[in-house]
Amino acid sequence: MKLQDIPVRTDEQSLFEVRKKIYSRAVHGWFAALRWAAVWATQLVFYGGAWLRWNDRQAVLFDIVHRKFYIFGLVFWPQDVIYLTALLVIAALSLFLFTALAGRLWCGYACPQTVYTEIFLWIERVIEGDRNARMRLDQQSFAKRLPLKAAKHAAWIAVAFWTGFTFVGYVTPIRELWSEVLNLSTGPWETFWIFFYGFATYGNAGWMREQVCKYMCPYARFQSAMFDKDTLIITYDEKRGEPRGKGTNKGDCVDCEICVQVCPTGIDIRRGLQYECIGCAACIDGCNQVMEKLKRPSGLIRYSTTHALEGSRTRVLRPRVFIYTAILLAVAIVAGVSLYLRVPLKLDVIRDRAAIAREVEGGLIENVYRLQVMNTTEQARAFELSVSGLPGLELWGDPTIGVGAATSRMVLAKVRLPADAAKPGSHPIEFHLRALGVNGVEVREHSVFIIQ
Amino acid sequence: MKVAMIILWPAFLAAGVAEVLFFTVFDPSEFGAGRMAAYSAGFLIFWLLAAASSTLTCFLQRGAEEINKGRSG
Ligand code: SF4
Ligand code: SF4
Repeated sequence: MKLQDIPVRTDEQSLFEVRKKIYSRAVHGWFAALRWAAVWATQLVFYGGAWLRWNDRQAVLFDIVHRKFYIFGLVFWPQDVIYLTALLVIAALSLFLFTALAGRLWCGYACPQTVYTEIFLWIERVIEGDRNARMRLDQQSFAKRLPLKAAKHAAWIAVAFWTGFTFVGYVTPIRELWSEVLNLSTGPWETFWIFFYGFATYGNAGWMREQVCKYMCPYARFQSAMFDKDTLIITYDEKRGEPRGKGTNKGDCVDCEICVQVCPTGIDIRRGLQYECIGCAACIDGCNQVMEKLKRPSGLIRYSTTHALEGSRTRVLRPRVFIYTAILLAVAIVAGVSLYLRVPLKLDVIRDRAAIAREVEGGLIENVYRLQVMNTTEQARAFELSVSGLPGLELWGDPTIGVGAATSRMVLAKVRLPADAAKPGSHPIEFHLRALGVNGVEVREHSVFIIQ
Repeated sequence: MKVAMIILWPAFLAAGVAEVLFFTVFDPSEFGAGRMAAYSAGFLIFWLLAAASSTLTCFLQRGAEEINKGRSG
């Protein structure tokens, strides 16, 4: 059965169908190792990344309270939201590209849902034993189950709490947060979010598991649109396997159901590609073990493409791959270049509405502006302000403005013009701000000068 | 359980988007309370609203049979 052929269920009852608990069997093999490598890699980055230092501050910090995002050497301000958009576009396009090439790689190896489920399953296995032991345990009386279950949930909650804490540690500085946690003095909202995220982890990875993929994940629903006959998917080689069963005149599949037992979403891959399949490759490892015992060639279940199974050639480089790659590269290059060329200085000019134009001593007209100067570098800097656009136009007062590291400052600028230098009306002028002692850090900003 | 899931989760996603958009434009310190409180309260309000919408969708999606059954029994 093809994915497209699965009937769409519209009956409301499906909402309430009772979930059969899935006891997935542990599996060893090449892909299991790869999955564990992915767990280690992603979690080292996540749990460890929050503790890295850079320039005497947390290396990666989404400081929402001060509205500044730090990512190693880069500082992002609310004005830089365009880069966030670019990042989202890049992420989405990469997902499309990988899906078209090799199916649900993301789901199988990198999705937090998979990764935390993997960790929680491991804890469960260590404490309660493998599939059969767990099934037996669940048959026993409550009193007998209690110690093991309590231990398991305690371990789960510990991991979940640490995850919640780390998550909040990306939003408020983690070191201070940690000492607050030790003193039980975290702020009310920090406490709330630590527990919220911890609880979500515990619920999703401990209880909901495959249901998240099956019922909550939007990606699971539309990924098939990116599949074609050249996409690498998990497949069961029907020609080789069928008719299944033990005995002579049978195919290679001995109908041992190992592939079903190891499947975290509880499906039978021999029924063909199904939307529930998260591409974790556990069934490949499982079946390969069986084939090894039977001294048959491995790969009855394997990564393959529909074309390869049909006996025709698989094309890796096909139009959709080119299109995704081209757009992806274009967005990445534009974002990268503009990030590189970004001037670490911003200037906003706001005309003071209260005092439009007034005459001051010496027959001069004065306009007052409020300037917001933002120094986005991590060093304090001094800037020199100048103004141009009309003959005789000049700045009144000290033209140097000092701004601390990664801060913004509001300053008043008084601009004066001889009364006879221009006709009444509004005249375009330009502010020019230049960093002292550094080359190339300068911005220009337009405004108007009004003469009544 | 599953109904709760498909109401709360899409609402959560929508609230996340709303939160980012809203607070890129508005500075949370303009709302009196602390910034952390403003962010959190903002998020929860967005979530509540979106969840209300999802709930209504679920409610309106019930088939005729189900509604009639509820009335007679
Ligand atoms: S694990 Fe392999 S041999 Fe066993 S039932 Fe599945 S496909 Fe057949
Ligand atoms: S069918 Fe195989 S690859 Fe798909 S989810 Fe189940 S075990 Fe993983």
